[in-house]
Amino acid sequence: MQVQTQDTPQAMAPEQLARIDVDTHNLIFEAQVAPYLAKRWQSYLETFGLRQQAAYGLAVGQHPLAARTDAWGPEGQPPGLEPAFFCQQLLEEHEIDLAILNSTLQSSCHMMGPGSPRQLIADLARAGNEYEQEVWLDADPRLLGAICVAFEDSQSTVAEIERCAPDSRFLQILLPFRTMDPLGNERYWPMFEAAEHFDLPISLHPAAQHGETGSGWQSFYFEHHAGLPSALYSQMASLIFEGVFDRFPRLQIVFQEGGWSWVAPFMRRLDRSWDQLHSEVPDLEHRPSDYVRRHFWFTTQPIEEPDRPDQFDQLHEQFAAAGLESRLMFSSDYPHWDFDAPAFAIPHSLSSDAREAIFSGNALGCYSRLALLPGIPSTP
Amino acid sequence: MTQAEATAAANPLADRWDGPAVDCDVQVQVGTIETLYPYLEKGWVDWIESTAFRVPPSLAINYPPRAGISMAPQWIPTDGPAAATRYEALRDHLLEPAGPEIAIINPYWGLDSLRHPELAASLARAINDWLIEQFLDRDPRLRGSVTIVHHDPAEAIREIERVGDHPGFVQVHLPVWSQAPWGRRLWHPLFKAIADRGLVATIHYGGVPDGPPTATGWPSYFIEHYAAATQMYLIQVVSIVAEGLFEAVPNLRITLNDCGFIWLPGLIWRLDKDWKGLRRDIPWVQRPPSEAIRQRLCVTALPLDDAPPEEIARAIDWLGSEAMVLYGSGYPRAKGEGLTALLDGVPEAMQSKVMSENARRHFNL
Repeated sequence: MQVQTQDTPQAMAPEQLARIDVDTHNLIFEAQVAPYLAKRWQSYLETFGLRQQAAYGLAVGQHPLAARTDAWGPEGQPPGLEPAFFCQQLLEEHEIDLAILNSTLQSSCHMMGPGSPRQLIADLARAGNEYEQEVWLDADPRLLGAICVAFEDSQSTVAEIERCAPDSRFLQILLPFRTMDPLGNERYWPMFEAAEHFDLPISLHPAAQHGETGSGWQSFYFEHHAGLPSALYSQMASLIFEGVFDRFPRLQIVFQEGGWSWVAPFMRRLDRSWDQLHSEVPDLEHRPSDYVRRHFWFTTQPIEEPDRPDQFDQLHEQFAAAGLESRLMFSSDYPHWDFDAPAFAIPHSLSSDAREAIFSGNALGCYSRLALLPGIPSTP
Repeated sequence: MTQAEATAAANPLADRWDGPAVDCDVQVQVGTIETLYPYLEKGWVDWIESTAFRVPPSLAINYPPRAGISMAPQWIPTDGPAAATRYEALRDHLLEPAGPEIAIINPYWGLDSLRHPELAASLARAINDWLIEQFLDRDPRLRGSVTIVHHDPAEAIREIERVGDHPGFVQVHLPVWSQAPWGRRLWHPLFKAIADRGLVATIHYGGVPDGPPTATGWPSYFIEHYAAATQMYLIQVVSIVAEGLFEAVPNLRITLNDCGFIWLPGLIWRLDKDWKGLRRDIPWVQRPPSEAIRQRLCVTALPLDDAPPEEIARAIDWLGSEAMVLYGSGYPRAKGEGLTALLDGVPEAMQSKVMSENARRHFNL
């Protein structure tokens, strides 16, 4: 399928692209998508309503809508509901040139995960994506989108990717951290095939969903938040060892909000495990750590905070020495409570080259579809 | 090379460390069910003989019989019983001629995966009595772990009370895949029983939860399960901190065993950061989590995953404590080459702490 470029009112010159924020959140809940749903599911919501069962595992959140207390609009509009206020508070105040919207539709897995009729989930995804195009992406050319899909259902997922992909403002496909099976499982491969075909990275973001650990539920939001990287260990191992990247060599995976200090040590463990157990996966074409360098990307927020400032530089050195320097992208997580302001979050002790890469260069490498937008330089 | 020379060369300490050593991870194995018959009530022997039960499923789930992590090549016997099933083999392989002053045995046989509560409890008693008679009482260099079946916490506490005062026991063995995260309130009486007897709670690779072993379903290949096992150690540390286990049981000490440690500093930093932002959610945690972790949690150094010396040294610096890292050979599953890398990375002034002093303090040896 031919990908079309969009006409945008203000073309941006490359030198303007100093800051790209790859993780921001617009609010898309039931009320926003309902008008876009098929009649059958509008009626379902009116006469029955959404169940919340897939969110049973999540502890009580500590902030309404997980948001900064100042992110409500002047008339009390909820955070991330209005593009104009969003652009003012994030893009203008923090001099951000482009922001990727990871809508709360995908983070609210009682809407997108299992536990509801398959066709309803698929229609919610489609409706949310249409709402996003009309209300958000059309509102401001600096706003870019992530495609929500009913990820457990390959058929509708592929159809929705094919429907959205021609709009080059959609930069990625958004999934929660936890899927019903480890992500390398073959039942997700049709999604990967479509993602690779359209140069859409698969981006995993934390969500309120089932099963927080491999041994039962967690009790507190603190635990959920501090333990976020755990599911990513399993997802990374699964994607590599099940051979996903040998079958889809251009597929890219983004891990959002799960930290990055664990990655270099984990690459060592993956390699050592493979040295001892490679007979189980004899067809794997490369060392496990090579797949991490070629296929995975990480975002900064919540930024790692070692005991001492110099340890941050050491941590970044370790990350770079593992071959990952070009794989780290700035994210603010606006409007959430643990927002990272670009002026303060990335230590100035890093070299200006390293900071520039984090703030924009690496995102240009990850999101090759950015080159389809007017005024955006192509990947170096 | 003669058999004696081969054995000496394979000794994990040989030619690498001649100072005092405490080996915190020696994995003695039950071998076959018949080993336990002398220690089981007669009724259970008859019951077992009439059933298909021979070995708990957890053993093959976590250590596939012929997988490279299940037995190091030098310990695979050409005939006769497997390594580490008998005291004599353990003595010849590990303790002599230049072995550790003390070796702490983790006799994991996968009992947590037996859902029959009475059978599992009887087997736990049998394993503890077998360990005392065949190992702990035969050699003053050996220390042991109490085997419990944690899915019946009241019975587990009774077993700790029954054998926990034997001077050979220094810890209670807990699988990293538990029935619920280890910080959860339902386990607090169990941890109190452990700490009250001066024992250490040691979380070790292994275990079979009721649901899938990851937060995201069942892995297809064992290598996914094994390589990402760090995810469960991470979850356990977070749970222990968040639920206030350190505060609820103030004399409790914890070991993370067989998971390496270069991943741990990043988690400690994340816990401190989230405590600053979210401590209202867990008000019983009055101090930054790193404080209790550094004072009361230790971690065995191996496997090092081929990290170069400078990375090991830096990870130790990042831990923020010289008292946390312990030596454990992983005999007979690990190949033994990790010690050289460890000693290359640990600053010289700290080597005796890692090899012996930290363990002596942690286990009150």
